[in-house]
Amino acid sequence: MKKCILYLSFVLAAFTATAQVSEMDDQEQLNPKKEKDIEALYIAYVSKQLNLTPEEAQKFWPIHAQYNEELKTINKSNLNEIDREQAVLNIKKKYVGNFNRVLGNERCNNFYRQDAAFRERLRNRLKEMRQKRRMNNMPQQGPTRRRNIPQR
Amino acid sequence: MNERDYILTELKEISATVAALPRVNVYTVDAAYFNGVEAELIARIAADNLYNTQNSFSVPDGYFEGLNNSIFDKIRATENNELLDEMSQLSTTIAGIGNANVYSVSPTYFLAVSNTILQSIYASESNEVLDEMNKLSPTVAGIGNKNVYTAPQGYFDVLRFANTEAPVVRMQKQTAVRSFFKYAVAAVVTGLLGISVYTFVNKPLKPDVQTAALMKQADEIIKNNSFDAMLETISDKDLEKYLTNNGEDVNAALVASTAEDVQLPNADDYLFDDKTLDNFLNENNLKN
Repeated sequence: MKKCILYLSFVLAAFTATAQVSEMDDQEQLNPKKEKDIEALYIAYVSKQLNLTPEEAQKFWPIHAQYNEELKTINKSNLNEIDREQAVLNIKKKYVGNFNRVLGNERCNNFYRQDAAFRERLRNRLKEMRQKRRMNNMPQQGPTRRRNIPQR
Repeated sequence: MNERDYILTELKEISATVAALPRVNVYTVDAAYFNGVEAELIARIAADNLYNTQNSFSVPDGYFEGLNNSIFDKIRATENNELLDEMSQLSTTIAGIGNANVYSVSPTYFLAVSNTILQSIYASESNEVLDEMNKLSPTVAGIGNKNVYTAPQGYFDVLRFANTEAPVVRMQKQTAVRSFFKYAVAAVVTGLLGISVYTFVNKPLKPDVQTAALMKQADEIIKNNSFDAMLETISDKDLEKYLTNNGEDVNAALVASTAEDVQLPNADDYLFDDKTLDNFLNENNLKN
């Protein structure tokens, strides 16, 4: 009986460890399909905001792919925050000319604004999801907190 | 006073003794003196000539012709005697050689000496060269001194060269139209080259497969107006990871965006409860 309990304990421990490793992987690795979906959402969002024609899109997005690769390289590097932001800014400045040739000056400026706006939209979505989860996890009894923080 | 008196007075002033001499002819000779004076003068002249002709410092004929040899002989005789004495003291053997020439060769020695030297040089060099050549290439060494570049007899007599006169290129006269045409062609070629280079350098990028697929998916999203629906399919973990991968400090960004929407705790709250900030973050689900 004792042997049986010991055996079951080992199995349970191994299962728990595997589950934890899997959870850690989930935390570290972004689902590739979901990453593609988000990038498609980004392209859709920016294309719509900039009113890109199909011809402009054919020229713009290949340049943007290069631009994005350079940004990813910088974001993966171990630069400190100030240097990273400086490097990102340098890349943005570097591509102004290329984007200008396709979009023109005004829409080029608008692109950088919409690029930031898309991430803002994702942050808002993330915030909504977390608040929704919090509301779902809240106990049904009244609030026990000393003060109420106004909601959106 | 007449002239005679003047002379006498002057003579007295000059020499009183002479002036006191009487008027007597002191230069007198015998009456027959001039009778034999001529013959006597001729005899004396002849005697003087004879004296002059007979020079007492005369040498025999041919004296100076052998003088140098006789002087050298005397010197040599003197020196030889001294040298021989010294040599005898130093080395009797060498002194015994005397003036005999000990460096003698046969009369025909120098006629053949050049050939003898060259042959000895050739013999020594040839051996070294041949040895080296044999090591490097026995075939080439076997050729030796033979002339391998030979032509049949009369070959160059029959050989006929082509007309080697240099062609004369006539420079065509440059006309204004011709010059313009030339520069126009050069400009067109340069322009084409420039356009080609510009086109090549500024060749628009084509979307790669991945980008093309994303663009197609994005077109579908726009077409179906499914942006929000698709965004809802993405988990908060994926959103957070995507933002983090793209350089967003998600927590800081969420705090900032939340702070825009909600009221932050009052400053006094931090004094009453040190967990005020933790409570606020938990309230807004901003803590990991």
